[in-house]
Amino acid sequence: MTLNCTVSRSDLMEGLNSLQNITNKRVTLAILSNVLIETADDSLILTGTDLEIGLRVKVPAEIHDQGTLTLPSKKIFEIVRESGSDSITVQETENSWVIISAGLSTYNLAGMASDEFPEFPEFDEDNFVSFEAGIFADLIDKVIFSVANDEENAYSLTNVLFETEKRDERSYVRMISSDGHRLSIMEKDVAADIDTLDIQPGTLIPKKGIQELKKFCDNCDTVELSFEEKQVVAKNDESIMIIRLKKGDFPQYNAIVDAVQLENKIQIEKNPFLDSLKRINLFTEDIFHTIQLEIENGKMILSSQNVDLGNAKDVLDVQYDGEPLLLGFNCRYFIEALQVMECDVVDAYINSNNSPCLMKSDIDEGFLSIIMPMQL
Amino acid sequence: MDAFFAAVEQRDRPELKGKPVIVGGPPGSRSVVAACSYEARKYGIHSAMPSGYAYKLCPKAIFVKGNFKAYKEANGIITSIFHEYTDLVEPLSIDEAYMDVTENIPKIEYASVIAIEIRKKIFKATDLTASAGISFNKFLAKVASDYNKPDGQTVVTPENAARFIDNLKIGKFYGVGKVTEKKMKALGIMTGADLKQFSREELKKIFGKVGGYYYDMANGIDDRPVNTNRIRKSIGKEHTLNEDITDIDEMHEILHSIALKLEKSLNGKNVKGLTVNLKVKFDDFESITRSISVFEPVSDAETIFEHTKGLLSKTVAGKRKVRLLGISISNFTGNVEFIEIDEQLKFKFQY
Repeated sequence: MTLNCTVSRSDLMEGLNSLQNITNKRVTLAILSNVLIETADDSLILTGTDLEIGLRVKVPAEIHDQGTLTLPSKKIFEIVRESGSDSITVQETENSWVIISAGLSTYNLAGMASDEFPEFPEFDEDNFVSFEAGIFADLIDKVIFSVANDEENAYSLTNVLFETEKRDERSYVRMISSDGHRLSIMEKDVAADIDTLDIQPGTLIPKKGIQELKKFCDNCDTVELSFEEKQVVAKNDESIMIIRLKKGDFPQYNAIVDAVQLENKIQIEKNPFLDSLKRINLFTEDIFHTIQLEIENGKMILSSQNVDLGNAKDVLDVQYDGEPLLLGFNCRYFIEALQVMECDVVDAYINSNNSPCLMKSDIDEGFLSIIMPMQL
Repeated sequence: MDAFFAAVEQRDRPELKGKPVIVGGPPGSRSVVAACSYEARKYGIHSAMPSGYAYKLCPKAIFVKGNFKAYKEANGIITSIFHEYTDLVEPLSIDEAYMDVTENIPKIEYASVIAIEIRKKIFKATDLTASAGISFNKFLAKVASDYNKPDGQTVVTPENAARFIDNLKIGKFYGVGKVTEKKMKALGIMTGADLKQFSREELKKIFGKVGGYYYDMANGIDDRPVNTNRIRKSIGKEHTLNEDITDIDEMHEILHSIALKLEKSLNGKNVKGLTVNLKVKFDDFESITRSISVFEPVSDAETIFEHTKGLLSKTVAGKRKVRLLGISISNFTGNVEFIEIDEQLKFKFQY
């Protein structure tokens, strides 16, 4: 059986593109840099995996001969991307070599037999719950920026914590992330029946998986999700994604939230604040991006200094009539949190120069951002 | 610890005992003296002096390369001795620490008794001598510890603090470096008593923010607690590349420019460090760090760059694409307490 098919360039490119981040990871197993190509009745099934995330995409195709093989993911993607023709023919010759014809161009590309390609994980078809894909895309957007990088030592923090909750006869889904310096929580009211979802306490989705899930949700209207003991499965009409879940103790984030006293409130117009932070950030030092905030009598003075460059200062009107405050913060933490907020006016609660700052707004329902200060 | 690096060398190499020993690069090199024995100090040699100049002062001085591992080991032993008395220990450098013994584990009433015990224990365990300063705040304890070196201790009580400060030469004030000392002397400030004549505002005007500190010190005011959580501080610079690269020469060029920036930053803060750390982030975002500890504190770009080049060659950079390079310096020496590094606070998570 030698594979032979014709497929539209744009369809194939879209399918291969969605696999690139998964297959282009540096891995020890050479076959994982390849994409598995299988034929179905009137489509090609493309599969890529890094053993943590598996993605299977269906691409409409005209199948001349059934077959299965693997091709280097990046190279086949580049060939399709650079191709000038609307349709592309892939024909297997022998020993997993293929001839790719696109208009007047032809390529001979060495593939690998599919035998060594890892099995796509099995999953239970019964437990899927249907969600508006936008809900998940939004949840992820609001928390992904504060997931800890791999270099941080608290392992569970390199993941997003996923939770569901029934409250007052409504169903909520929630994502939480923290890198130890800041904490983001996003919760959404969902119409779906979440009882079917088998969410274990401490369900952790790795950062890479959550990034891919976001892309997945961006590309469809409805996503079906199923949580199993070791994996989460997302599917829509064309694709199935399986992400391996992590197990671990995520810190008790509620204790952090509860500890913030919601007394000393500062109201700040979000966009001017964000613009000002970006200006002040031009003069912060690498790594810590320290800024100083002086808040007193309806004014906030933002300043930063950099040994190599000099310093910067900016003044904003704010609504505040409490005790004067002198605070240090990582500027980037504020910028990243404000960038995902949709309100015009943000409510910030800060009590002292060594207590956390909590930001929220009425418009950004379900969202909370808590940032630890820096000691100046 | 007294002449720490040099004392360790003399202990480990008996033939050096009683001789002027200099830890640092040889006279022909562009190195400086990292530490020297008391015998060498008699010739006017002191740390940070160029090796060539030290050689001129004392041609028979013995230059040794230094053995960081042995220093670290001794540091581990003395640290565990400190903790027999209190957990409120704030390491200041590899051979110095503050301790708050207000409440101490063996419940000894007098701090001077504790100091005697600790110094005895250190000598027994390491064959090295230590000196101690005992007072009611960090500044006075620190200055007092230098007052009766080697193998001695000094107590400054609240009653005699004012007299102690008045008589203190301005160069002996912790935090007053060579440059500041010159500036002070130009203003007629020779001793603590002279410094006391200035108001806080005047000192701030002349010296900037740190002027406030000088005022406090002159007046015996220092309420900084012993900070056990002093995180291992470092000063670093990094550079995310526009494009992932594999070319080693290009990486060297970038590291060199980072080293230049870092030098400026270190000099701005007036510190040097004993450890050079290289950070490499690869195209798949995996990031690694490699470190080297040296016995001669570094802050100049060329030395930092040379060390970093060596560290880079021990990585797979080049075989793998690199997206970020960074250098940081840690294990500071010098006026470590005055390094203004902003400390990012963390959540106190419970699990």
